[in-house]
Amino acid sequence: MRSVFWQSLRSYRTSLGVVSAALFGISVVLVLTFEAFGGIEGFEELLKFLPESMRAMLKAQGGFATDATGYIGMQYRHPFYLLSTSGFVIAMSAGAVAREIERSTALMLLAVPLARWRYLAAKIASMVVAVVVLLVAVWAGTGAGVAVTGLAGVDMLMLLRVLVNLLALALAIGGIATLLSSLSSDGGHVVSVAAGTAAAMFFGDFLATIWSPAELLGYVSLYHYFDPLGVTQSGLPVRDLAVLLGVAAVGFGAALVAFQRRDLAA
Amino acid sequence: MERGEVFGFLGPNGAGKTTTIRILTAFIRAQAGEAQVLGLDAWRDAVEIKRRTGFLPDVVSIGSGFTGAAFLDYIARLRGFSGPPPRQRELLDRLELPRSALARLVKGYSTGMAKKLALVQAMQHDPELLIMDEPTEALDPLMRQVLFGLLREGRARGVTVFMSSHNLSDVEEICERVALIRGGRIVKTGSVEALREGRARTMVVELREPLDGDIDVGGAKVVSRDGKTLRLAVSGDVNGVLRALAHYDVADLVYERLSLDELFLGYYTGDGEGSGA
Repeated sequence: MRSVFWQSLRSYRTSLGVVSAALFGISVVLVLTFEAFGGIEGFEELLKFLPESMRAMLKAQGGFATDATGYIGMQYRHPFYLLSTSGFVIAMSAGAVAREIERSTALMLLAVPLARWRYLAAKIASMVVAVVVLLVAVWAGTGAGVAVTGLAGVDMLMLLRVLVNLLALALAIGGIATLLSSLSSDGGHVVSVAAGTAAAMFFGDFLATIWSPAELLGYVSLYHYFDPLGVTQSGLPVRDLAVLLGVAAVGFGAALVAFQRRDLAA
Repeated sequence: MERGEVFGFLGPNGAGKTTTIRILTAFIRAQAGEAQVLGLDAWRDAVEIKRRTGFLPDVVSIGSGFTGAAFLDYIARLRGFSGPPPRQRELLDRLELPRSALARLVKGYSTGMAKKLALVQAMQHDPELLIMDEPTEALDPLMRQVLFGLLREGRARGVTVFMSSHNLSDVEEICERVALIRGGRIVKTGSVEALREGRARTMVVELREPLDGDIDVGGAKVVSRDGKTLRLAVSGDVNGVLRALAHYDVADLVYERLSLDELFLGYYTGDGEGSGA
């Protein structure tokens, strides 16, 4: 099982390195932009001029960040972070099962004395570690930016909590994508359906935020449960975490059962 | 199947050979009935069965990020070995996979090289049962003989081999018994010799002079008659045919063993049990 775990991480090491470096870099730049706006006052001024829809994307329609921590935390909802983390877990999920079947590599890799669910569990564990690496890169990049600019009043522990919330979101998407993968023999299909579902949920959450008749739609979107500004203002929301981790657990659990029982024919 | 035998599994495309093999290797579950391997349930006891078997799939596909050595090492670790399995070195030498080739990425391998690597992964842990789907495909004649040598040696050590093949001469050369499958059902099982019993064989008789009128061929069936050449289908005892032919001026006579190809066609062009012609 350990071999599968390490092999899975090894096979993604290049892309993991590139995406982590990109996340690190953008996180450094993100801190630099704070000063460029002229601090929190300058940012508040800017937000006032932003249309409501733009503020809704950052979940900042209800109130603004009041300090540098809030500003940075709010930026963690930038599509770049969401796309990077979601895209990575979707790619890993598709590769865990569906792509192995599609390419017939499963025929030799699963001819060894290892229960299928253990094989998939090792792949899921490697996915969790990969997402943690990505988020550590974000946190480290933020820390580097703070160190370079000498920005005062940034609560790095609070930002870590925001990233824990983002980790839960990524795992929830990973759970759904892994379930899709465990039922499919077509990696491309898994990527398109999972990415489409994630995009639809993001749009649903956005719509629910800016249009009150669609408010209920927000609750079925995983993105509804990632509110960085709320975390910086009120701490880690237990309910949001429970929903996201619950979806992840159900997705991964169902994937393990489905993969153990299904026929593996390309 | 008996332990320690090399068993051939024959059938045309779509007959169910690969499906059967994937049921035996727990890649798919039988929709009806049950499948047992080494006395264990093929689906429920899959992990234990895989511990004791080696498998060569019909499609050899190895992740593109592996070198040959890394792939063998990975499979060995998944089988619980901390170092090279007992037979790895010998197999690499005999199948002519040098260290330089193993250091290369598998995606640069030829089909034959990849097949040899797959054979090593199937046999390196010295399994008691080998399940092989088209093992000789993509191998050159030399490597085919090396593989047969390995299988014969394995048989001598008590290793059981279950193999499917389209190449009937391979099956004829290495298998003690064969099963013929058609439409997902076994239509005949037995030794190649036993399968030949009762089947018509072809005799080609070359006469010195063409003959007119009827000809007595001692119970054989005249399949074709072209001038001085007679093609006969001989069933049962050949002596009656030879005695009848003694009355004619025979220039040459060819009476070949029924090839597995002919046998195969006999079974698959008939009504399921074969016409015997």
